[in-house]
Amino acid sequence: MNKNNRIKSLLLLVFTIIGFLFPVIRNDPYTLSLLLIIFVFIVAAVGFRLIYITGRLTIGQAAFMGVGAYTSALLSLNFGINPWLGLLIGGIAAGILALGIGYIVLRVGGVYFVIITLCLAEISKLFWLWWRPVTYGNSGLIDVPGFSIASFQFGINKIPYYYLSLIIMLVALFVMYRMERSRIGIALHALGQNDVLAEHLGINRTRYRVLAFTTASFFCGVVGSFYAHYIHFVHPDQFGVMPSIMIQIYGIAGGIGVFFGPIVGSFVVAGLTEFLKIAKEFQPLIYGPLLVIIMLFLPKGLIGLPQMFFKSSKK
Amino acid sequence: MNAQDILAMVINGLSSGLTLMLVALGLTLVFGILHIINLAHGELYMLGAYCVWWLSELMGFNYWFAIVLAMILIAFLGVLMERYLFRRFRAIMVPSLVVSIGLMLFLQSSILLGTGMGDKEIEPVFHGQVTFLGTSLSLGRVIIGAVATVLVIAVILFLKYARPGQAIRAVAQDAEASSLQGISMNSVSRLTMIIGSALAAAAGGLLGPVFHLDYMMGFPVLLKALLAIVLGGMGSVVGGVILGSLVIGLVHSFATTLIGPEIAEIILFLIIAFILLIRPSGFFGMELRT
Repeated sequence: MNKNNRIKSLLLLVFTIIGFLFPVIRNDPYTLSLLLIIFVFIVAAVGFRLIYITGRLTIGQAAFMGVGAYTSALLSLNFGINPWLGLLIGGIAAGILALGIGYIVLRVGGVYFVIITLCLAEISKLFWLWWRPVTYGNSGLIDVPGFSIASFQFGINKIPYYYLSLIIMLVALFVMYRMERSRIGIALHALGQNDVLAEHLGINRTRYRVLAFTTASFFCGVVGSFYAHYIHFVHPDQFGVMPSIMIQIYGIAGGIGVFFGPIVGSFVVAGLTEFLKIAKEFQPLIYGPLLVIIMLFLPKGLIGLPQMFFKSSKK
Repeated sequence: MNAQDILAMVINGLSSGLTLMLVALGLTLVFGILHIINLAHGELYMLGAYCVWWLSELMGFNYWFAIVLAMILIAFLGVLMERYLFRRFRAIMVPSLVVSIGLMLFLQSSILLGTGMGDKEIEPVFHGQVTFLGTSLSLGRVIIGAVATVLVIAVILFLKYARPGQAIRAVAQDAEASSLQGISMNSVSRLTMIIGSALAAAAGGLLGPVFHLDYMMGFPVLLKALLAIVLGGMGSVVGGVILGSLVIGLVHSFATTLIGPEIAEIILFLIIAFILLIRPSGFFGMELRT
């Protein structure tokens, strides 16, 4: 283990401890709920990156969040299924759907894949709007039950939800990190760099891409389901094209090249908009120019900023 | 269901297909020359509509004059976009997509900031109905279709016979070879953006009196235009787009009337996804350029 790696793991440990102690240091419902949403989007953005490294850019990940959210919310509303189980079922539903769709669409590359995923996001939203007898269309699902442990209801208290989302995020990140560092990850990177060559070396293009797609979508489903039980409300607009674009912004703004890029991106972009206290409708006014500026001047994303600084100071 | 209903559906479909064509033509031209999917193209349409609203309702210009002025203004915006952004990202997929998404978000929210939430309407210039083969049609729709047809034909003639138009086609065929022939890549891509933006603005201005203006109105149109050019074959300059837009317009009009609006769009998207999977080069057999 070299020095760089040791610093990295130390930093990680510090951040995880801060994450766990945060509610003790500052028990403020507003900050907690902000962090909680950031955690949800971090999972989605890291999943977006996992697909991206295989050479496929997707603008449809929110569709899988929607599948998780609707599955789990409908099961708990109509059949009284426990939300804890719902988290898993939501994830599995999204994963199975991703498996099926992935086998078909991941064969198509480049711009075509982008358009297909864009369609996917829009289709999923229209589908929830259309299936009125079950999803209540534009009115959305209300009174989605929250989590409880034995007789302890999570209720409106933010702290249990905060810990739950933190744990979900850490598990998802751990799985995706290990995946990228394993043999599978090497195969995924190889596909992204040159998929024809990779296939000649015995890496099955479609199968590995489907694996990445399914893993990312499974976690998207889980966080989608968590989100539904957390805000007790599910609406088609939460899972259209816009949230998918947001996931992409978080991923790319932070730096798509490294694993921790999307994490930094989510914190900085979401934190910045919160800090500037902009109304929701006007937030794109910041995101738009931010994306353009990052693409023009920081092709490595925000995470490349210190690196650039150090390099120039060494010269 | 009688013959008149069917005729009404066909004419509605053709009319929306023709205006869609204006947006799709620009999108495919830009894709053919710059190899960029400009996701902000729908916003040029939206800005065109707002520009016409601003010029005709607030400044009191004549509607047609307002459309022409809006086309010029939006074309100028397109030139700026091309000069400072798209030119740098020619044929690099990820950054160019991200930049165009950035532009899309920025233009949408700046319009929201500039004009507020409330409903904006452009006063229709033409009222009344015309009767055609026993079906009564709104005069406004017919005129929109006619103007769109004239514009499309003008663009086709320009691409076919004018020297700058021929240069555009040459670059779309082989950028390197046409550079060697002395065609300036930059001026061709600027010209393409001018044509594309002006057409999108015209479509927005024409359809403005039909719908309410809304800062999000560009995105659905962009999606449909994308579908049209996918159907016709990406980057194929003219033929495919024209057929694609008409098919999208007709399918949409029929499905909306027969089975309802949301499921109509779902069907449309599914058809397109299917076509992309079996024939990425487009349904009408245009050549795929990479």
